[in-house]
Amino acid sequence: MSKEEFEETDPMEFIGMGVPATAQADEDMVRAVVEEFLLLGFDRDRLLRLFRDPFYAGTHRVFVERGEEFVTGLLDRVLEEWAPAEVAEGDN
Amino acid sequence: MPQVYNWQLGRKMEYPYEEHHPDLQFAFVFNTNRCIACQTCTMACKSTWTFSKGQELMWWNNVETKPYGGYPQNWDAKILKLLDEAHARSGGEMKWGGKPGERAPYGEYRGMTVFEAAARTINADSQQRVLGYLPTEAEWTSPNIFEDNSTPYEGGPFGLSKDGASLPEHKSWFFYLQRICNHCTYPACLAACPRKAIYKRPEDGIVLIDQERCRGYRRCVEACPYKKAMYRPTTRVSEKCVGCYPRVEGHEPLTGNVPTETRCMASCVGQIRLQGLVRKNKDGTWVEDRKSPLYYLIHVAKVALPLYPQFGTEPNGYYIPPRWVPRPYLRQMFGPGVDEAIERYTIPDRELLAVLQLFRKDQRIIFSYKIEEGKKVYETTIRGKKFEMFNDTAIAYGKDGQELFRTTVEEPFHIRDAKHANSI
Repeated sequence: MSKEEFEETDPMEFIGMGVPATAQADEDMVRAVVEEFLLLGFDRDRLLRLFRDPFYAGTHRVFVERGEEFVTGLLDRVLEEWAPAEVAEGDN
Repeated sequence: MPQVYNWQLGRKMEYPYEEHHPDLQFAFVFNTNRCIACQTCTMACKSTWTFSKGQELMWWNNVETKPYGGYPQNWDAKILKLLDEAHARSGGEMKWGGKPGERAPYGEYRGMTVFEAAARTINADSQQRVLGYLPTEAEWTSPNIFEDNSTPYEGGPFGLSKDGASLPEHKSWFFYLQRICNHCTYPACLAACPRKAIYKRPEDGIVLIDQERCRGYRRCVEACPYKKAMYRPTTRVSEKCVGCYPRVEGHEPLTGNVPTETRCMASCVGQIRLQGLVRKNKDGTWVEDRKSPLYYLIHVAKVALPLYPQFGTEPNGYYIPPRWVPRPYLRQMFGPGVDEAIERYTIPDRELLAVLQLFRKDQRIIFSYKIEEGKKVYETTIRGKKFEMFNDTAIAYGKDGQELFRTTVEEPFHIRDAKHANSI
């Protein structure tokens, strides 16, 4: 992480490239985060905290821009899809 | 200029030399979804090959944070811009078309490669055979620039920005791109060398620079679109990743002198890397080797894709693309196979789930695998598609058919005793 302010004349300065990102991109990202942490054992409250807490800039940005309903809706959908996971516990 | 067949482009293309293919080809698959950018691979390579004077800026293996990071800085944006400008001058477009088929799994690339762009847009007197550029010294100096986060420092306990990223784009996503020399089928470095000091080994396809013949003209540094040939000022010749060839040849006593994966592969903490030697046909296509995990991942499941195939070098490094990244960016980076690859990776079938377990369980190169069926342990429906998980056993075999290891889809779950919570 850069520890100085931006200097436009600095040849090593950050150069950004805009890439079109549709609403689908948010969905892909939220889904990936929820699935990964769900499989690590996070419950619904803990997962939702990843979006509510401003410390997590990326997920929180989605929470602010798309709204709580979008996040909880997708979260619950993914939780429902993976719900039977509990049945498999203890198989090994 | 001779015509050679590039299966990744689905067509013949121009290349300065006639095609000759090795019996076996060094190849690898990196799963970008699993990388945590710990840089253990980077340091394993550095401490093995590039720790001497004159190699300070040399990182044969690097892991960069996309979209902003790059080593050398902005290497891919720069070569894409050069290619784009070449297309604009000649009236073409960097686009793909046609239907995927057996000899063209991603369809057909209808734009120009770095070889074709050079032939059509660069003055023949310049002796430049490949479209490229020579990075400045400054661009080589920051191998992990913009790692993880591009936000400016604004104080606070972690130096984090209060507002997150400062640009309107890419606030939510980034991913790690692991890079070594791709030991390309049609190396741009080899094509560019005026001394013919670069050669591709017939036994394993590893691309090497003959340190005796090289005179440090740096044509290879200019030509390699992946920027993996590097100049060493103390010896005044160029160097590049050697594919840890003594290990690949089977000169590693630690593994009993059998073909062994490179240092960067073997040290991977995130278990994202799988390296192998694949069999090639005379025409450069892959021998249908259904038991090879690399053949399966690249040609059957098609979850692993080449990096910037449009450059035309037919790289032998393949990537499972990160599933959370906007598709237009990924299609530019990995070609038109991205959507199918992510779909298959996110809802894997039985065989894919088992093969993914083979990553990084052993240092010895896996030549073939077998799956023993286990019981079903889980099923659900993800985005309307049925997903079933079986606790199958994947068995890996070495060069001479000896069993290397066996692993199951479900891994044992260990809970550390509270008494030893922080011990190893």
